[in-house]
Amino acid sequence: MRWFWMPVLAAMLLFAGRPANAHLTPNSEVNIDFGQREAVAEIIIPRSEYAFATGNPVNNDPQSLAKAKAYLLQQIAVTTPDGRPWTLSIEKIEFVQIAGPPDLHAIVRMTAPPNAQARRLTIDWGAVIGTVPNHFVLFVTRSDYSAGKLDEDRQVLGALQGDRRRLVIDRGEASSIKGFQAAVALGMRHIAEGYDHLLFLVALLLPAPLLAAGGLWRGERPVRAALWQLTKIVTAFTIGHSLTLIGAALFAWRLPAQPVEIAIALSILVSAIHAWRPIFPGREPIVAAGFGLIHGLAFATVVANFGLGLEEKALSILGFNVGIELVQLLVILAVMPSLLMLSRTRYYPILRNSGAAVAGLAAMAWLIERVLDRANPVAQSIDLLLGYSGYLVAALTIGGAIALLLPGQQATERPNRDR
Amino acid sequence: MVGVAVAFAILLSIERWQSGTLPIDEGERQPVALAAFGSSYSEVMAAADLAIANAEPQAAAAGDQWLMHENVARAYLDRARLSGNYDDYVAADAAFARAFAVAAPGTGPHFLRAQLDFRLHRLAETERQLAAIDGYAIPPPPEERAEILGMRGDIAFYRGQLEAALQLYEEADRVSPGTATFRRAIHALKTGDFARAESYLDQTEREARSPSHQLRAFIELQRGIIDLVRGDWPSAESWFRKADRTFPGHWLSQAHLIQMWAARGKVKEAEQGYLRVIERSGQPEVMDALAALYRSQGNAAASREWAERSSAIWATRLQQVPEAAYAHALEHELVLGNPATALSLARQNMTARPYGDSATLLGWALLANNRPAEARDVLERLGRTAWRSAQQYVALSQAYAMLGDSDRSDEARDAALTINPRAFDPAAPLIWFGNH
Repeated sequence: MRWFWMPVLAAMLLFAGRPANAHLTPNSEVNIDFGQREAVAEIIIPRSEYAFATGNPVNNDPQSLAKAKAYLLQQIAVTTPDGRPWTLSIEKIEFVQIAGPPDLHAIVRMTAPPNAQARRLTIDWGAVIGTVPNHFVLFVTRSDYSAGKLDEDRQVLGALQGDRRRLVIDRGEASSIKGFQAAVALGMRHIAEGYDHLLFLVALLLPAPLLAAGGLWRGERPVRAALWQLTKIVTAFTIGHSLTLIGAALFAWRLPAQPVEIAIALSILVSAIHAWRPIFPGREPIVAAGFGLIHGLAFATVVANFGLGLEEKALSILGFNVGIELVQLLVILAVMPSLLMLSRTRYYPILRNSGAAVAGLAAMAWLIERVLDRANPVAQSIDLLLGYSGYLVAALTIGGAIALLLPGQQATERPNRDR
Repeated sequence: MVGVAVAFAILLSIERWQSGTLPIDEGERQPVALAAFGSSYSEVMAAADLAIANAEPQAAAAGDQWLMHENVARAYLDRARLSGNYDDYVAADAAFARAFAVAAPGTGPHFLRAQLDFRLHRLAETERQLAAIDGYAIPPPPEERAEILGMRGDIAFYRGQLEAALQLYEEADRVSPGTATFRRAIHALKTGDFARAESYLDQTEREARSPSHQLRAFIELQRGIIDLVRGDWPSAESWFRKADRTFPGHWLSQAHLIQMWAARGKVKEAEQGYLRVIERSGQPEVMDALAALYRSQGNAAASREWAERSSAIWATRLQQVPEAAYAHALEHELVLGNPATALSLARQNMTARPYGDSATLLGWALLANNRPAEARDVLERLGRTAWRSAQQYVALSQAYAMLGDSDRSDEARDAALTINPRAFDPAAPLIWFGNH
């Protein structure tokens, strides 16, 4: 008699037990922005855990919120190293869905007592962990201008749980220079990694050495005029994005990210079409300024939490802008020679139209990606390829120089070739 | 007629396999084998009850024959496998003790005892029983030798020796093809190769030829678990529903299914479902799932009430069969109890079965005790093996985050999401069964 079924059943019975697995419950998180004189904490406690720990109501009516506020103020204490209490002021409290299930969300401004260093503090925390031993609270530095930490990388300060309810924080000495340097670096990184901003600018610069006539790009601008045109475009773009950046940082101008990102993709499409056929000849600086306002809104999402207080905010925005301008300048310095040289050759229409096509394709891919809020392979490939654009610029510069020096390669009958 | 013939064949196979060359009385044991072919959980359980009722007086009447005690042990073991009731394991254990007390040196129900020891996570004891079979004067038939190899592979698997396990499975299959197919499915699942795991399950089903309702449901449950761990929750739910229909009334399939309702936000239905399953089965795991559901709703009173009830059962089980209870009691402590107790259990669990799931649980327990550096070390070591689960990377991501290493935290998070796109789903804490 064969054991035709035995191996299956035997193995099945041996493995029939249910393997155990972990099911950690949601925990609290406290994101802190450190300033020179104060700190602001964003407290996120899962609503269910808050209700589990307190039995308090969890809706947004005034009574419920008052209870939550009183609970937090009762369970959180901040002191100086010598034991003097900080002042805690709850600026905002609500039950809200941030990501996933609803949370108790509170913004607490923590102010050090007079003559106390605001960078050394002790937090005593009992909210939820006081009654729920397996809940923990993660404390994270979101920003610290004076320590030069402005990026989005979270620095974990520590976690509290169970009987461990005290967190001692020492952020070191305050330094305005560190914050400014970090803002410059962040601005540089942001624009260098934000291909869409640079592509918009480059597409707008493509026809800058040319003159428009009869609905086509014909003729060349003199070098000096071309340089002046480039300067105007770049300056206008800078003014545009700086304005919204300042507005966003100082006056909390906000737009949801998606429409801003869609508008940026549209701006690239417009500049790509313009590089192919002039649609707003001579008014490029105005368009650059206008779209610069939109691009600034995207930058604003980065600077929103920069620094506490006007001085820190102003310095960090300045630094961030300086960073952006430095990279823009580098890009223009890299692109300019090839544009000017190639625009004097018969190859420029091909280059310009190819550049316009690439920018247009990228704009369309990004547009679809951002409207649908879903990555698409074309956009991903373009992002990948743009990572190598430095090599292209170098090749174009060398190619431009060669073409300009070789006899017979200069532009002669531009209108015919432009069609 | 065919069913009866198959059942009879199985009966003979089981007995020959389990008792070596000793004569047996088929008639006495028929209900046990037939039980596997019941069409519902209640039928199989009724048959298992009957088998116990038959076996016990016979063992009492012939107390000097170890086979009689083995029959009792088998009957309890069969029922325990289905019911998950630890009292039955204890009763089986006691029956084995009686069997070995009267067995001549070198004889006794080693193979069945090895199965019990394996089920109770006593790996060294399982090995000892298998080694005793090696000393038999008459070597076991190829199928039994293959099964022993398969079990040795399982032991290697639970010791975290994944490559050695695979080699033993290959050896087992060479001796008797098909012995390790299902085991390979589990191996593939735990090394992140879901397609291969599914393919082995297909093969398992083909090799089973005339699978019982219970076996079919079990395979459907496994298919659901594969979908669950790769984040395809709708498909997982569909498989769990199928398993429940194929073998109705089994608390484990139902618990798997009900948790999917909870994850879909059908809280009331899930609550009622869990209550029904608890009423019928009294399983502490289901009580824990219900307590976690209440906790997710902020219902502290109900959550604590059920957590206390399950806690008492886990305490008893830890007394009865500690190795088998460590991991489940640890789950309970992690979410509903005390983190320090969870860590202590995690360490004991890791000692008993140092494989990937235990390492992941240890990682979580260390995190729950605010010891992220140790958790990172444990999980990084696990990452250097072939073990691949979303859970290990979720825990690793959290460990790195707590250590302030955002880049690595993101990398681990991406690794988890690659395996299971729903690894960080806010509803994931409600997935209590099968998400390992």
